[in-house]
Amino acid sequence: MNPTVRRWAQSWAIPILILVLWEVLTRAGLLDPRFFPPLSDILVTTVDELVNGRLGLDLVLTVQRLLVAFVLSAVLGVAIGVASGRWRTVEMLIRPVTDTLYPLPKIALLPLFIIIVGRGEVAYIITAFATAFFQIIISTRGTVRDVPTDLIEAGRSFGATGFRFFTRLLFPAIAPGLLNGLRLGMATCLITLIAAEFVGAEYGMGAAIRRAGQQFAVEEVYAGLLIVGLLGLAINLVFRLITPLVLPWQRRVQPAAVGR
Amino acid sequence: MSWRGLREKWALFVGPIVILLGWELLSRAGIIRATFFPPPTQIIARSVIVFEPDSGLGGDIIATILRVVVTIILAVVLGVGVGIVITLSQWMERGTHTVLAFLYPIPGVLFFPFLTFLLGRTEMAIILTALVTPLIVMILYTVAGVRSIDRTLLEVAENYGSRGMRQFFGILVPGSLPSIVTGIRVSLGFTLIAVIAIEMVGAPNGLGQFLWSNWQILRVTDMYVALLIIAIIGLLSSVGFDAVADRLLPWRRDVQGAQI
Repeated sequence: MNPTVRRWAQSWAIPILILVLWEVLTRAGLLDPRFFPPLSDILVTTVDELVNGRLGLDLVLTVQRLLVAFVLSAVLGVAIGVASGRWRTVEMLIRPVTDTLYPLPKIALLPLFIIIVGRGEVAYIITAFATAFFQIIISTRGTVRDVPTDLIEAGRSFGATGFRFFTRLLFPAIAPGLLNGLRLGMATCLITLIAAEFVGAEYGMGAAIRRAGQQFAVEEVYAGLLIVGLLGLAINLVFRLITPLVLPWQRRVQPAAVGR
Repeated sequence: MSWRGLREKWALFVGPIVILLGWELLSRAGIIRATFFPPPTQIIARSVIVFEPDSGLGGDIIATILRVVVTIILAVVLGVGVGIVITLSQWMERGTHTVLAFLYPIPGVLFFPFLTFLLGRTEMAIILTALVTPLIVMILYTVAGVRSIDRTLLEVAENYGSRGMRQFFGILVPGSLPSIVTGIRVSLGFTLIAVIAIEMVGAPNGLGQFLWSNWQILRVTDMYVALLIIAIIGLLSSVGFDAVADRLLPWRRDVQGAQI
């Protein structure tokens, strides 16, 4: 077997087996249909709810919130992360704050944010932002730290100073680690956002699942889970697609890392 | 730390002191509303409710910590077992990876409605919901750990008759231990998030429930006390865990994270 085909088959054999088994067992009535509806019914419900029901609106709102929260946390997180990786004083100023707030589950801050800004878009966005923000600061700082000193010294000797130091030397050097940190940050952003919506929002994917759960609408619960899972996969896919565009040299340097 | 060392690290204290002092002064001066932002000294003075039996906070702390501990133990035992078993075959490993990549970005708390259908509002439902994400993380880090073991080592051990249980406990577990320990640290963070979030929506006790119920009746100072305790637990589970782990496994620092 061709290695690419083989790898593809290995990646998808078990997922497809599970899906087929699910469909067969539920159709045969071996699983309690109240809890395990057939897969095809779930798909029909998903599409129907997306097109005709409220789920479409929920999805749009969640994606909007996710994008706003992620862009804010990426911009601020990378800026602060680079500054604290580069200058020791900055690091010492912010380190105690980031180290204390990073492990605090931000979902616990949701009530506080709701008090401050009221119940609305901003509260969920801030909660999701806060999670990704600290994570991106910490991962960016680590990446900047890992840049070999020789490279920095050499670049400086060849005239990469001031603004050019950042654009021509530092960013190319940290780009792969930076992108990976951003990808994980966006995933965490999504997780927290959905959890915050689940706990306290009226609209959004998290809220949709809670609503369906309260109405014992099992198929809609599955529909919500399916869409959230697909959103997560989409994030990974987007980053996998943009990496070769942003880092054209990456493929040549580390051929082994591309396929993983 | 010597006095000299302290003097060089003065900047470490600037951030927290500025924030806390600014908060205290602004709140006392009435510039930010003391109803929503009570001065830090008042929050700390109020923390004595931890020791007052009527407040129930002591019991809530114990309930939350117990849930976190039980969940993490289950996640480690199951995750390491499953993680090592699936590395026996490329088909299982790659297939499971696809399934987990789909499930990973779904916040565990979303499975709560479904699990309460099945199990009712029981402690079992809470633990199983909290278990979802940590279990995925543990499996992925265990697989990464097994993959990091030198192939020569495995072959030599096999030639000398290490198979089955002996291979499992003699080579695979200790070899992947550094990665597993890193996985436990990551899982602890996720477990705490999940437990607090579930308690906020559907548990009869626990810190999340305390936080949420005090928020609903706007007893803001008590809410801050709960936040403070959650922050301390978070800090202990990350920084404290690192301190212990670095002492037990000094070679752990070199380990690469799992690919999620």
